[in-house]
Amino acid sequence: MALGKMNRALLLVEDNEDDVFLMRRALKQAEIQNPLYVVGDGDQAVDYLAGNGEFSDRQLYPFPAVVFLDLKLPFKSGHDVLAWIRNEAELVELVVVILTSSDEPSDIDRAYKLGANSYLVKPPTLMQLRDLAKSFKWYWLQYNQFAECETME
Amino acid sequence: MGESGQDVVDDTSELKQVETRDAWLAAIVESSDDAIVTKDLNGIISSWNKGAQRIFGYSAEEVIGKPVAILIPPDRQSEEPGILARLRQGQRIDHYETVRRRKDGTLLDISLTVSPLRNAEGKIVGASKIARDITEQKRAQRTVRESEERFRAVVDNISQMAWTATESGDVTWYNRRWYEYTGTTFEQMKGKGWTVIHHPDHRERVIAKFEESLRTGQSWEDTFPLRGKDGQYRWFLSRAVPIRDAAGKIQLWFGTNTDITELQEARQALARSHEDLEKRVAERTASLTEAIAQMEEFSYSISHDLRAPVRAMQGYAQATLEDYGRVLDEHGREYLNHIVRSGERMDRLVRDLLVYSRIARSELHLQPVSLYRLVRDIVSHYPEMQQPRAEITTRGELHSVIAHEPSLTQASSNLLNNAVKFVAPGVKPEVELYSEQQGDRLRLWVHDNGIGIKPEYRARLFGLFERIHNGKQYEGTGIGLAIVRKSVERMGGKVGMESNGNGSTFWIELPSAQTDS
Repeated sequence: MALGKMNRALLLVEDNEDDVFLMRRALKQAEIQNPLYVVGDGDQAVDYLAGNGEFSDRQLYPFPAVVFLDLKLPFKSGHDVLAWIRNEAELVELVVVILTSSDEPSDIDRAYKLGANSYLVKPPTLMQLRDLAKSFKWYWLQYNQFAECETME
Repeated sequence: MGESGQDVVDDTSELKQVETRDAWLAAIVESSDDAIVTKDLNGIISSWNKGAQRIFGYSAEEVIGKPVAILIPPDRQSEEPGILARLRQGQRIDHYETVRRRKDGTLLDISLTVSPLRNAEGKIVGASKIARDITEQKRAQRTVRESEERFRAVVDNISQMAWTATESGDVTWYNRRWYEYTGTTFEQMKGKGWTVIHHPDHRERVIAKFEESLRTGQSWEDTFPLRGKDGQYRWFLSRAVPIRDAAGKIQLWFGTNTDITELQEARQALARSHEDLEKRVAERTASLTEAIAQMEEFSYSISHDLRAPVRAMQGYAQATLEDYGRVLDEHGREYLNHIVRSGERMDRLVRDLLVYSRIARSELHLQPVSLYRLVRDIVSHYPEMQQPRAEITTRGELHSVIAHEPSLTQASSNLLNNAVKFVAPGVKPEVELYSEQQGDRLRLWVHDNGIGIKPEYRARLFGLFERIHNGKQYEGTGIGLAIVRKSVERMGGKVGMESNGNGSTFWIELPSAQTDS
């Protein structure tokens, strides 16, 4: 409990640099202070969360409070990463928010069945993305209570 | 009469017995159907019964004392010396079939039995001759032979192979076709010779089955290959039936072999082409499945890859406006606004297309859906359909239909969106909904006070990308009504519209959930 919720890391798993830029901007505009870490593919997401290789340094790569997970990714897909997370005993309670441009019912169903905490479709405009970031801030960072084990690390 | 009379009596009775016996024998001879004639060793006729008179036409008075040669046709005169010679040696001639001549000159077939006549000393003194008229019998035999020849002539010329066999299965005759096909001779084929032209793979089975029929007397049928003279085997359908005499005893078997090679080949070709068809269907199904998979992959890519750059264009334009709007003049800001609006429109198009393709390919589970609840839920989602911006009312009860709820929600909300969107400037949209039972179907009517649709555009109304209103005045992608039609048709329904200058009336028709109408 050394770190407050507002300072805990957020991990964005996103291969599209434009979307990374727009997301950073939206978070900033929503005045979210939490540091944002970004990985560009599914394998890196697994390595980051497992603390493999360079990611074993938790000073440089802190364990996140929330993961924003795109579905269509190089190597492991978002669904694969999610399935892996829910199979890891230490990660079952990690908050995973799917952030994707797909509103296919099959993608949504599969994500929830694999244990996603929330499913957000990337909004088409910057304003809507900003609104979404603000909602996220209030809901997940202000009011949501995280499980105890996720604050260990 | 006294004692002496006793002897006389005895003599008399013996004589009487002799006389009686002679009379009796004479009666037999006289009443016989056969000609009974005696002659001496010189061939002179010495007695002539009634039968002889009837058969040959001469009376006893006419022929007794005449040579027997008068009964013999000129071309057979040489027979008599031989017969006489044999008689002198004490030989008997039994059932000698020959031809004799009647008084009127006509010829007749007879069967002759000639026995030597001896006197009391045992010396041959003449001959008794019994002649039986066998003309009828001969004619019957000829008829049988002729009918048999006719039968063979017919059977020789049929396209099938045919044969006859004895009760024990030995073949006694084959028709010509058999020899033509097999290139064999009767000598090779007779008895059980036929087994050699059977295919080794089938021979045992065929013989066993044929023998079974011989044993039971049941008609026989089998299918097997037979070797032709060219060494090639052809397939035959073979049948044989037993021919029985009046007592039911099998006299012979009559069999045929019909060439069914072409039938067999046609069957095999049919089976092959059936297999081929199955394979082609499987291949087509596979390629169709692949096409569907590609289509799904394509839709997925649209939803993800195509929308990302649009989002980026829009996002950067927006960001530029926000961060650098102050250093741009009004034109620069307007250009960026155009980019933002175009991006929004592009994203809406892609999303509508995705909805369309999803409706076209998704599996629909149909169940009763309450139209009232459905409409109420739709209206509660859209502020532009609620007071004070619009008024949506229902007339009467809306009832229920059999539908896929998400698809019907999509179709109905598209119709309602159009109804409140296409109104003249300054007019408050008023929409009335009502349902109408039509047999086992239910029609949902959506009547608006909008700008209506010109009759010439109605045919295009439900097409994809069809826009029949000015884009500057009324936003739209031209996909909304195509989605309505596609989804309703996929649920087994119909859509349509009517316009009477006073707004438009769209309808959706689906199977009614009401069991009784």
